[in-house]
Amino acid sequence: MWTDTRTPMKQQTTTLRGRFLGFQRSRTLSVSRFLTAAMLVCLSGRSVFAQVKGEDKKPASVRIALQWLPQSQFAGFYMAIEKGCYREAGLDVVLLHTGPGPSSHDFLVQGKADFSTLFLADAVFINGKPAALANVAQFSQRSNLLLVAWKDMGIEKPADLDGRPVSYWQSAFSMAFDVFFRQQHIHPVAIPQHYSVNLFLKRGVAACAAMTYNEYHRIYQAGVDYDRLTVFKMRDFGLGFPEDGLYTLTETAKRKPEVCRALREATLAGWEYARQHPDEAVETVLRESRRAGVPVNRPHTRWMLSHVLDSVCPPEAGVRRGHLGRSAYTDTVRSMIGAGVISQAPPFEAFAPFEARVP
Amino acid sequence: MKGFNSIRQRLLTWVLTVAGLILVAVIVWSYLTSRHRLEAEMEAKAVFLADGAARQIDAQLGILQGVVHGMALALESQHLTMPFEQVRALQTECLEKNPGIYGVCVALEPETAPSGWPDLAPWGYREGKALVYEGLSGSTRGHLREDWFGLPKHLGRPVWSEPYEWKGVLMVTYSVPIYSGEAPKRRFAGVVTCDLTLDWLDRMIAALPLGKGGYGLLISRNATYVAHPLREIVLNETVYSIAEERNDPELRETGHQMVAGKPGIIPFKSFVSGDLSWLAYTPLRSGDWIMAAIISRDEMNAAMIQLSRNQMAIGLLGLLLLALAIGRIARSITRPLAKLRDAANTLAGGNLDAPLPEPRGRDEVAHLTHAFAGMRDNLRRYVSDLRETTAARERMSSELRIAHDIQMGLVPKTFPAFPSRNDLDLYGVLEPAREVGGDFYDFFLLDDDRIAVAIGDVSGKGVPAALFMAVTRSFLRSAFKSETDPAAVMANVNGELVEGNDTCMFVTLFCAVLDLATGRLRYANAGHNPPVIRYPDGSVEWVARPRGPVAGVVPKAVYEDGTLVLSADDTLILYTDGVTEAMNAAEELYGEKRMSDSLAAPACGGDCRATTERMLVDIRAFTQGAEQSDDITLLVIKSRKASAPTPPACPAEPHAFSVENNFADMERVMDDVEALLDARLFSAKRKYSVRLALDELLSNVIKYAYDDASVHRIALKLELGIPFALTIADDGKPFNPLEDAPHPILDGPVEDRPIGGLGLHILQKMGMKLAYRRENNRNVLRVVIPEDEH
Repeated sequence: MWTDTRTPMKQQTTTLRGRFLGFQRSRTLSVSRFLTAAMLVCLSGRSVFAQVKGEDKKPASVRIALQWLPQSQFAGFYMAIEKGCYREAGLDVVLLHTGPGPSSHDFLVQGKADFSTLFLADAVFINGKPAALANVAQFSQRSNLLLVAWKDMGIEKPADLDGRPVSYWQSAFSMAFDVFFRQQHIHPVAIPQHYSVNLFLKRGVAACAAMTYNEYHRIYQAGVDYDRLTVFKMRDFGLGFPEDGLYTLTETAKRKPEVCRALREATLAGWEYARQHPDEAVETVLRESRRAGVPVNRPHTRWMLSHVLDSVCPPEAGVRRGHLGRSAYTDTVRSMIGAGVISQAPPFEAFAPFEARVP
Repeated sequence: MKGFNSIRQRLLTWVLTVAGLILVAVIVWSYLTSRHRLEAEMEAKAVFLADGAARQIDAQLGILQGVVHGMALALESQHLTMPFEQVRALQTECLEKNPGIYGVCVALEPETAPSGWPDLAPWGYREGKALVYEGLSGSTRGHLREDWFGLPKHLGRPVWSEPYEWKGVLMVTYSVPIYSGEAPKRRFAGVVTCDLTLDWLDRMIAALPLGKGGYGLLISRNATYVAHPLREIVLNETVYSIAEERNDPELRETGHQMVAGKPGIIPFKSFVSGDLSWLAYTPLRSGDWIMAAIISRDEMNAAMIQLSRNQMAIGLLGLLLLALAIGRIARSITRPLAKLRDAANTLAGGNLDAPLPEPRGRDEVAHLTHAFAGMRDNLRRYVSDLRETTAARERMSSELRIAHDIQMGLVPKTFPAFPSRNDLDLYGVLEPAREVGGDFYDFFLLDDDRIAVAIGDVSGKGVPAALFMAVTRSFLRSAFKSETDPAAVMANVNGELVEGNDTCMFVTLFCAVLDLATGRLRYANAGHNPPVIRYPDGSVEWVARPRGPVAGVVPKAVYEDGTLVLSADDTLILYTDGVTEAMNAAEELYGEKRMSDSLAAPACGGDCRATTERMLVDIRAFTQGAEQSDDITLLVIKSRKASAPTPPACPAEPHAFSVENNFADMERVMDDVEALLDARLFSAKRKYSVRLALDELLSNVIKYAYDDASVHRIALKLELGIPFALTIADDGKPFNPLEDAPHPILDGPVEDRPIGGLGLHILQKMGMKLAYRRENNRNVLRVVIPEDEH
């Protein structure tokens, strides 16, 4: 993944010191080195983000609403807290998990959280209802959305789903499925999918929605060997929209831009740490899950972590971690408009104010 | 102390080894077969328990299911128009009547729900002992998103949910769909559910008798653990997730088998204890779940090994007791044996009066002790008998020795016997085969010139022969006191021996009288070995005749005299058959031939002692140490002339007699002559010849030589040497009987024959040589009588 991880720290620091006075970022410095530096500095205890603190003011209190119960999906956040990355950034972060009740967006607009994680499509959909949202960071750079079907029910290709009962989530980001069906000219019987794939497991539907990092593996852990399944990856059909991102109200973004930025960097540092110490990250996630009473087992946690890391730190070059690409936004918007989910969307700069400065 | 060979060590070693081997074999065999059988039983037990537990759960679940179905029916029958309060009352009643139910819910689809319900999903449940209520629908119609609502709706059938947690309580929910309307317009209207807490299942499963290392578990069709002794895996893990974590594809396969819907049993490694176990599983009838019972094989094996160990311990204890018992038994054998051994040693040492161990009991050792005591008593008796016998034999032996000495005393032993005489060489040996024997020899001087010698062999051996020999010797000696004629002596001795001879013993005897002046030997032989004469040149001559019968048997046996002349240096050897019948190891006899060969040797030409010893040496060389079977007796006599070598002619001067010319004096002188011949040991035959000659010739002279009636003296001269001659000289008319006597007329009647001439004829016929000469006016007639034939 990373080409040179073993850059001497002293050299890094000097360079960083030189570069970061005034919080300037050098274009020539690769993101990878920066992130390593940030993480290492974070761990070494040196203060990089002195500016955020001001003159030794107390750290800024930040509440982040995560969009579901504890799982590896949020490993970066856990490691950022545990390893003190937020603290180093002058942030006092509190994580709030949501579940079947009020969503993370609800937390955000109700003021129970300062930031919340959302899928990109969900954020686009709910933007402005009632408040305008600003994208602070884009962690998941790719789509993990799948349709998983029973091979022995005769589902080998998308056309076989026509007229068959298919369960899928009813949230905004599931509009990818609608687009998919329309693309494939099929009309499956839509069954709402909520919190489990048990209906699929009990063969009540021919296919169900699944995330690569979650339900797909849950199905395996329920005893279904992969070769019994036909999998339709949405991103294979051009419907791969990035998912997890960090959002706040636009006005918060305007008022506290440095907090937003610091939050992004620190969280990325947390993700980097998780990538480099997956076993420790798995243990942390297990701890958090058990504390919250969420059913969890180690192999599933490990599976989820490794697949989420693939999305957050994709191996292919040319990807800016933590950043939302313009095309990703515009493609998503176009698809959603085309699916009739929304009629219009704000421009990229408004949606992602922290991205606009970079061409 | 005791080596390996002791009875106790052997017994202990062998018995303990064999018993130990048997013990080990039995334990091993019983372990293996028991284990095999027990494993089969444990497997069956696991299957039964799984099945039994499944049925128990089925029974309980069935009841609950029945309750829910009943409630569903009730609602449906009312076409879902039941008022809310009634439903609530129903729920409360249900909870009260069924303590196993945790909660009951009726959740309705909004479209078909009756109006007036404050909540579309009223849920009555227990909180401790109280029955409480909660409306699950809320503002968000949350019930619509739950599996316990959605699954029966979409599957169209009652469904047991996966285990889940609701408000801190682990539970499973049974949901039954209810419908409104009639077919074909039947519509899903909602669900009726009841909740079952997991800890009820836990308690039931924990009560199963699965042994210490065993446990029961329940999994859903997804293989999610519904009940398990490890609390942390319930809800969190499935069989597959555990297989994934352990990287154990066999476990995943086990999961597949378990949820396949058929009962089964497989070997398994327990999560809880790590023991090797059996997993017996069976699907529940009342739901999608699978009941599994795990029984620990290791626990069973450990129990079996413990059992075997106990058996081994008991066995070892038994062996120990066996060893002690054997030790005791061995001791009961070896102790008396040791005592017997000591007693035997004491006995062997000669102490026959030592005390013996007391026999105890009636076993072989006691028998041995008895036998030993018996032997000891017998030994004592035998020893005392032996002592007596030995004493008697020693007495006998010493008596025999004395008898031997006496017998040897009977036989003259001193040599030279007559040291003052130099005309006689004599040597004799008697070597009896036993202490005493039947052989003897004897010699004694009759007068100055004559010596009597004798040798004899009594039949038999030993004391009887010796006694007989002594008697014979006495008789011989006493006979010679009155007789000098050997034949007469022999007859005398024979007569004495025969009388009172009940034992039918006999003796061979040879006796002789040797005139040392003339060398004339007169002898008689009563069945004895013929003596042998050895001449100086080495030639030998046997004195075979005369030979009469053995003495002591025939009452009036007649013996004849024999005569011979021993010249100087002729050796007469008398011997018994102990010589000629001496045997060597090959049982060959020495024999006469060897004896004569031995005598022929020049070494036998010396004096009698040398000759005898030489003969003995030769005999010994022949027998070569073989046991002497008979007495060896030798008597060797040699006469020596005192003067220088003289012709063997008779050295004695002629004897002169004077006879008057009358028949009475003629008789007188004939008696004198005969007495002289007797004294000179001439044979009877000679005496007869002489008498005949004298008779005839003197008669002729008396009758024819004188014509007048005066007394004339006739001279008679006897030459007793060799030649033996009579010379008659008379002074009568010249008469040559040889010519002047009428020739005998031998034919014609006797009465008619003239007297005379016949006598001379007879004399001549007897071998006498007559010679006449006229000398000095005397007629001298010399008659030479030839020697006797031998």
